[in-house]
Amino acid sequence: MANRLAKWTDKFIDYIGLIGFFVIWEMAPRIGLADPQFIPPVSQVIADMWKIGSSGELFIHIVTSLRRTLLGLFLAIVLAIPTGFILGGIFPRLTQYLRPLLRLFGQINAFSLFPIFILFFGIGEVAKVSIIFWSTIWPVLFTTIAGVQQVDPLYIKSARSVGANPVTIFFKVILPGAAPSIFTGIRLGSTTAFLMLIAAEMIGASAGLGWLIHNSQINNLIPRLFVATITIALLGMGLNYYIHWFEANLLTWKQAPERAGKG
Amino acid sequence: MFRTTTWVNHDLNDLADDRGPAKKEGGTSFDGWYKYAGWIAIIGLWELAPRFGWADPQFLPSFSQVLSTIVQLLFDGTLATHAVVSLWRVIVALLGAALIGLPLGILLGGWLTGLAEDLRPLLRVFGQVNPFSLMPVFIFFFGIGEMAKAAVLGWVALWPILHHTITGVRMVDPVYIKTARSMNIARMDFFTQVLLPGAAPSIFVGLRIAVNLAFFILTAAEMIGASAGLGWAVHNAHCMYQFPRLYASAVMIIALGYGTAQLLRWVERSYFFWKEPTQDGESLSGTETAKAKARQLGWGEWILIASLLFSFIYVGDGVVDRVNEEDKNFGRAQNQPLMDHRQHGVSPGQSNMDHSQHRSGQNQNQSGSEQNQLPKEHDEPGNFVPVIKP
Repeated sequence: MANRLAKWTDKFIDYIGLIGFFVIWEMAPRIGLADPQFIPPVSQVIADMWKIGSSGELFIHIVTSLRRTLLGLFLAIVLAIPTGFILGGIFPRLTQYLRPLLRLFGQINAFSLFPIFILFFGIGEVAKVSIIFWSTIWPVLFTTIAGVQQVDPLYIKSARSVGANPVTIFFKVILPGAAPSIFTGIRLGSTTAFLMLIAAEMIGASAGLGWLIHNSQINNLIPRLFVATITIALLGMGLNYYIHWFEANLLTWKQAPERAGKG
Repeated sequence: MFRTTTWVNHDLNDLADDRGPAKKEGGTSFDGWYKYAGWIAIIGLWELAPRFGWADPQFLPSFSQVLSTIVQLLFDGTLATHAVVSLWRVIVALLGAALIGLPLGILLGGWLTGLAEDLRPLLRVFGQVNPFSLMPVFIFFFGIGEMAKAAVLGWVALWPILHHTITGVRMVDPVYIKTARSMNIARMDFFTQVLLPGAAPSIFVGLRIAVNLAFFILTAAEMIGASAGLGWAVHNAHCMYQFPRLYASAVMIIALGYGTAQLLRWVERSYFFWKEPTQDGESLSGTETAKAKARQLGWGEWILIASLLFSFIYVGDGVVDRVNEEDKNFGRAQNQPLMDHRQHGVSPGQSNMDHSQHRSGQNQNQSGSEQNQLPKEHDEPGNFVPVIKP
């Protein structure tokens, strides 16, 4: 019991910055430090969140946004990882020729391509998913290529010398060796992808969290705007934590995953 | 299946390098034009596809056409203005973010480590908060205008810089710090000679992420609500179906983003002239090529870079002011054709010309409806454009 209490206290101290922030947010509009019209107190935002949430409206937007993100992410991963293995493992020479091009593609702003995506794929879901796809595929591809090429040659040689066939080498040596690097790419990609999606939904969509933000902003529904903001932040963090969790469970031999990325 | 020789030939530093196995033997054998074979292939495809009819030239103008549009728009000043406006916004926002993020990060990472630990969850939440949703807050603090836009970009850029600065300062090897202390180093020297160089690799990673994100967000922000800038140019060209202009603006955005990233790499290489290229998650996307060219920059060169930057900010400030002023005066004159369309639909017959057009349209439709049994809604006046019914 005392142990558990200590654990909870530890948790509390961990989150003291967050709690302090919410307290300030609650107090500032109430004592007149901030205009409640622009910054409503957090209790009002939570009440609004409950209202939208219980009517199921928020749920629809969350599902719409998540479906787009996950679809784009999934397609990018499915395409990028095998391509990365083929390029990095089998055609290293070709990879060298392609590298400047790939690097340029990685730098291309998905948003400058958005009108072009609309041109080719129409205004529907495909254009939005393709933005996610575009901004995710390059980090995953780069890190996969680098991951494959960084596998210690000693491991491959020793696997060979004990008579492992290529399939075994691939699944037992190369794939586990490249996995941490690949996960870094997925994490980087998913963070950007989520940011992109929200902006894409603001430009042209009829549902989704980005649309909710845009709509609240136009109609001056400030508490609803903050509801959408908090939901997006929570979802983004959730996605990040999920990938971390997935990585930690998949790569059990690794001691502590390095925490790259922003935040 | 996998040729093991490729791994055997490489060591880790070669892998981090673009030049691959040829580096050790010749040094420059992979520096020829064929390094860019991929680029050339894509551009060739882009040029040929519309010409041979593999793609509709109306939707995909050939590369040469886009290039000539870029040159034309650059000379007539419109594209250059948009580019300057966009670049100015990014640079101002990045400088702001760096000015806040670097000292704060060094302070939090170096001295107030306990506080940094406490604030970590909060910072993580902030990093995930979408900047667009904070627009009302920014407007509340900064008013409508350039400051609010700069604040959106700055918000996005601040968190990676802050996070990586904190991490970088805390990752400085304690042995270096202790050694420096034991030699009774002056406070200032300790800062500039030990702490900053030790933290710099991580800081540069943060800066690079910040630049990329700022460019992403800038384009989106300009598409959503702005009256100038490259994002606006893309959006506007799309609305007006000017496809060569659309591609020209998009290519400009890409070139600017790529150029800025390369510039930052160059500064990084010059700063770490003694170092092999770093290898980490972020820099994997582009590892350095021209290691041999890197050298230390003297004070004069740093001052030159800084003064160029500030003179650009000064000039850009004038351009942005002028653009905003024009926008106020002419009431978004460039959007006019779009507005006209809408007026046709909503309130038909405002001017004489409109009247005659509507009449002729009506007549045609009526005769059409008698002969071909058109749907009923075509009988209403002014229906030759998309209509919002009263």
